[in-house]
Amino acid sequence: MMNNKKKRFNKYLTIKITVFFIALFIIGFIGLLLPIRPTESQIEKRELEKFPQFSIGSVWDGTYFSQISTWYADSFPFRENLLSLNSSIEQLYGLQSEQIITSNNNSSEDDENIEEETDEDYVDAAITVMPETSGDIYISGDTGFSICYFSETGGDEYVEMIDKAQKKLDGIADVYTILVPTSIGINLSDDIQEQLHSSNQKDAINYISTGVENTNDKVKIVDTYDTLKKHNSEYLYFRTDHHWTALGAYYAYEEFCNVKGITPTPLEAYETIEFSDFLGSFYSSSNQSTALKNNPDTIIAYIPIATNNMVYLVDSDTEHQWNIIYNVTDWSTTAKYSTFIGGDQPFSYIINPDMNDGSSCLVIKESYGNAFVPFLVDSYEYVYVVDYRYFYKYPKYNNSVYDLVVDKNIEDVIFINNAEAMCVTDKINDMSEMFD
Amino acid sequence: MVFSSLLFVFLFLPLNLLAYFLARNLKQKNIVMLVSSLIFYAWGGPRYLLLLLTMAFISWIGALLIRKYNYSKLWLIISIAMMLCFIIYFKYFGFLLTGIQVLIGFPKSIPEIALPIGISFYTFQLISYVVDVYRGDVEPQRKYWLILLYASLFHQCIAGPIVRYHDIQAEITNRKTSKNELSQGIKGFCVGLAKKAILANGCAAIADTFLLTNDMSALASVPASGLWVGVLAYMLEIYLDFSAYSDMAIGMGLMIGFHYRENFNYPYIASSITDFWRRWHISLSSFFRDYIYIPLGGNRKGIKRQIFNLFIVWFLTGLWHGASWNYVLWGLYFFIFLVLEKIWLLDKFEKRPKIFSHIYTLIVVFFGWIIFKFESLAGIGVTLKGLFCLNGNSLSSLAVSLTFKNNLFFIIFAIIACTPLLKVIHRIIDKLHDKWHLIPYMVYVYEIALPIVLLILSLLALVGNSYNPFLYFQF
Repeated sequence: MMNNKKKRFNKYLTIKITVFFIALFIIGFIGLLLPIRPTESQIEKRELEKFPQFSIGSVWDGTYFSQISTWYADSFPFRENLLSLNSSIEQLYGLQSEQIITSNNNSSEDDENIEEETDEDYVDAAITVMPETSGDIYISGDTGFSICYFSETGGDEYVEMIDKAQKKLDGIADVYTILVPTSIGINLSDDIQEQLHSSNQKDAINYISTGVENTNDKVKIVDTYDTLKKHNSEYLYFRTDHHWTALGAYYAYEEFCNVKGITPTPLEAYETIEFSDFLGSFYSSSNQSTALKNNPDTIIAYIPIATNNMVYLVDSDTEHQWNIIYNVTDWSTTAKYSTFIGGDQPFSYIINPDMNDGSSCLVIKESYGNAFVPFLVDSYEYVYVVDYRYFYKYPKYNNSVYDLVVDKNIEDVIFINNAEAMCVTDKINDMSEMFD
Repeated sequence: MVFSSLLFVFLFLPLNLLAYFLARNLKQKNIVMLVSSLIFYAWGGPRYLLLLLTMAFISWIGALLIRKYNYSKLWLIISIAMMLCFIIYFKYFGFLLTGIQVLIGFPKSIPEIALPIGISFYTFQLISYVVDVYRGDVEPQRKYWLILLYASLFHQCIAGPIVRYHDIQAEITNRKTSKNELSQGIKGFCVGLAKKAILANGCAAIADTFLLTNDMSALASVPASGLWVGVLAYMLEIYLDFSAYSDMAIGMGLMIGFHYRENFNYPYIASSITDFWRRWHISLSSFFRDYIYIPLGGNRKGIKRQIFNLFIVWFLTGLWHGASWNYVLWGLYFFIFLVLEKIWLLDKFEKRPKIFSHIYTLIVVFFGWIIFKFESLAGIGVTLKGLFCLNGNSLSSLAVSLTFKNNLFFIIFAIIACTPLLKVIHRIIDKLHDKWHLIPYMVYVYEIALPIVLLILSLLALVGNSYNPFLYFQF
């Protein structure tokens, strides 16, 4: 009897030890399979750590080894599956129907990563849509919101910048400024916004608009806040991404037409195309929140009537033919906002074959402008688009919007920024430098 | 390298164990351990390997000389002084100079000296060795490489526990792995890994949300409830983090036949501060007891001298944790409570229900961690005021209540993990199993599955969390 028990115990120990070592070695073996290691993260939109370059100095001070450790962990096989599994486990941590996710600044979203992605095999557009949000995210149910922190200093800088731009272009082109509230300002009650310490966006936009009015009355101000607020029961913003939808952009376009004094194309006139299963920046910054994952967004894009063709240029005079609304059905779920005007390109233009009055505009934008541009196509013969963060990469104009405007005989220069971008010093500097 | 890095768990350790079990005799096994340990140590920058080799050399030759010259006090003093010089230079020189600079305005610039990994731990091990040789408690080791193995053994070299040579000298030259201990070691290692990767890192994330160490004005506006949650999370984090490291070290030791002593014994169930320090970082407090407090006379020379001795010990204990005044303050904070307890508090508690002394202990420890967390006095002050809304900060906010709700079950589980509750349940089941052979197979299945489940959960938690050093690394 006793002997039996001992035997059984011994057998159990053998099994326990064997099972553990098998598991340890299997995982260890998988970790060594270099070819299946991912090199970039679609969801986090960044390149994963690379195996470090050997140098005596880095070996001596240990950075070489610490980079190997980081590489080993960062590009572990099946990384994204493991992360998403971990995120499902973390749901058990508490009551998570509402969450605040504070940004930790190690998610690299510096613009360096986007680099030149110009080749025809441009399938991997994931890397070209960098999230502009770096801040904290509030998740309520299946919807994410980026918490907005307005800075008056930044606002003042914006006013200065737009004044400088108008003066530089005075008598040559009209300057429009469009400031777009983000979803938190439109879809959440003032009360919740205040509890989240999110700045009141109506006040923030008014602060800048009043500043512009008082400084330079030649700048034309397009106010989009009220119209978006009025329509806030509609699908104006993505739930899993910090951008607005094409519908949101359409209401801004209507408001722009009012200010300019032209008639907007009615929404019904457009042919639409839908891309389902879009999981945007909120999804990635929330460590792949399951609530968002289970309720992906659908992108509804409105194809311009006159043409769906555009051209973009990056660092040379090589022209890339592209579509204004590109079919992204087969693209990764996180990359689908790139359907609009090929994502964030330094310089692109669209020629409307149905018009020949020489009318032209230039849109100076960050990624919020991408959903907006397609609506302008039918109102101008030429639409030029500059992403102010990358324009310097296009050598022809040497980062001078003035040269571009003069060269192309542009009539309207339209600045479009979302409520977070409009007070960020770096971004305003980028815009300002284009008018030096 | 740290124990909680994927590279360590899934590459270094498997290779180390493979080589170890393939080695044919103990000498080969020891060579495997030494080479592994030197690689492990050099991973943080090979230049400090020289320091480790030098310190081990001083200790080795010092011990031989002490023995040769008939337990010579001179050689004891010389070898300890040399080791102390190194630790003072590498750990405290910048701190001392800053102090001098404040007093006399000189020197103008203070050199930046990087702290070599683990210096506080292995120096203490090597000092304990020479003292033990001097006291005749152990025979000096003739082979340098075995002393180096003792000091550099990767299980405990860089973050403890502080293992005495006395405890493992026999095992260095004669040890066996039994199946039972190997199995216990596996479990201990996996429990420690999960404690670190899941619980401690999770608590750290909560603590860091509220305890902002580098922005005083932001810290001042953190709502009071946020600070309470933050300090609580930090209190959990620091125990889970550090005890996890010891669990892993002890577990890995058991896997190859080394027996290190327990370093923690559920400190948060202590019934007094005196009791707390018998349960917290036991290998450090017993080092100070055996090598400072008792040599100074301990409690044998009257109460005044005893209080003075305690003062020295707690000043040094504080300073050991870091070259910054807040750690000294933290040590002296405990000194005050220990003295109070010696003089009259403990007697008072005798007559009251136990619950009072437990609550008192937790409160004292809770505020102690605030001193420990903030290297700047300003941070300590702002936090203390903020806890009671004295910074003009609000009582609560949506962010705080959401963080709390989002992590409610997690926090409860982390608190349970700091108590022996799970262990007690486990023991009861074991007893049922032993006595009446009840549910044996379920216990077996559980025991077999637990390490694997913990290993995989830790893998999940560690992927994408590339930066997570153990807290005690800085000491």
